[in-house]
Amino acid sequence: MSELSSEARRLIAAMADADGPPRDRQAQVKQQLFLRMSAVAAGAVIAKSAFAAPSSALSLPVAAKATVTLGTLATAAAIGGMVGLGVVIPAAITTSKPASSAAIRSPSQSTRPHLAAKTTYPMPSASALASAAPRASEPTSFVEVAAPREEPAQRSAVSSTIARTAALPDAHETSAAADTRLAEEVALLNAARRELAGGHGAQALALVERHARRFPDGALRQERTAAKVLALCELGRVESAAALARALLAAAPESPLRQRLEQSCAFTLNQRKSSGQ
Amino acid sequence: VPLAVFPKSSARAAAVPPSEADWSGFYDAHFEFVWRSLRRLGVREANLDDAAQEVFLIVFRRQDAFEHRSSSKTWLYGIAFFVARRFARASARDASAPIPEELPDTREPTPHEVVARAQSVRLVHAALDLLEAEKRAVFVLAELEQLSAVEIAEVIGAPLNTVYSRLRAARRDFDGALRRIEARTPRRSL
Repeated sequence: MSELSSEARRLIAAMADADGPPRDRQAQVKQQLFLRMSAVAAGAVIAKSAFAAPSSALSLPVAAKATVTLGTLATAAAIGGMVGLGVVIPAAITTSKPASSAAIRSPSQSTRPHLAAKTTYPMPSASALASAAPRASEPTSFVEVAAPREEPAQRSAVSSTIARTAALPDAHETSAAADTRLAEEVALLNAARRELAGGHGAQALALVERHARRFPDGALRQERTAAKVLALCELGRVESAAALARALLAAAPESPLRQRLEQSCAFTLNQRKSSGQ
Repeated sequence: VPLAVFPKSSARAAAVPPSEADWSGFYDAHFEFVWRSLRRLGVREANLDDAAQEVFLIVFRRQDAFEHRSSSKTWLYGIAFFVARRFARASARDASAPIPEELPDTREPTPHEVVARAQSVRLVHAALDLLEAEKRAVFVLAELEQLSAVEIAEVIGAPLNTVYSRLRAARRDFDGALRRIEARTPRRSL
């Protein structure tokens, strides 16, 4: 077989593995990937109309048989089945940096966690995440909870990569920021879901209300409301739950959350009312 | 990088799905490799993140296969190849096109080698871009990833003879592409 020229061999050898990803790419893509995985899982759960899945909190429900929609993150699908439906957002997404557009280009970038390609970070357990959530008060707390401690020695190495990693297109930054925000929303509501699964209505309610304060116009506000309904049910506040459920379904009659709500205490009460009992 | 992630111990019963940490560990262990392979196979810079995600989605979705075949290097290559083909450029780059300067040298600059290495990355990728997609895949797997012809045949789903003939042609084309590129590129310090 004809051999490659020595020049070509030299070049390939010289290249080594230097054509790998930029350093921060691993974390960015991971976050997006896991959001998409949760979207897949949510779609599968809805399709099977399962509910109140047991909290095998750490098993990522990868929908083996689900049809994957490969595209941008389908937010609606991602969140549709989340509350109470056993969709677990992997805690791993919280290891990614806060990705606001400003942060990406700002000098403070040099303090961002350094994600060496070969480095793996311990993932926070679900319980750690849940217990950390109520205490967290800063906007980036979810990120910080899980962020790896940066070694001072790594800083100079990190900062020297900044010039190049700053070359990301704007669209990428924007979606990364949105994904981070969504990931934080998801993390909060998942923590609430876990509390619900554990029968801790008060804690769940606290997390829901925390979500409402931090993300009043969040992408997951419907899911928040649904989670609140379930929390109120758990606490025996059936009238409040029913009123809230009515309001939610009036505003969003096609909500994928309807089924879950219909299985809650709220619907039972509403049904009794409407049938005059 | 060893590809086996999950211990095949009897402790992991079939009913127990890989844990989140397993997925995460698998991702961390293989992201760089997947991303680089996709790039080498011709996925555009702008599509690399999406393509890498797709590879992992496929891996994770096929959970059974994942657990049983995660030690198979060619399996992951095969998925990357499959995805790359879907993302690949519609046609090989026009030979007269300028060398893409936007190809980033993505690694930490380590003093002396940096320039040479970045130059090598640019040249190799520019030459790869001049190959037809099928030849490119065989060339990348053989010369950059050091897969055997048998493994390549498995990855791309082609007979062994086809692999050999494509590789032969790809080497010739790659050398020719390099010569053309260097002929019109002012030689920088290497």
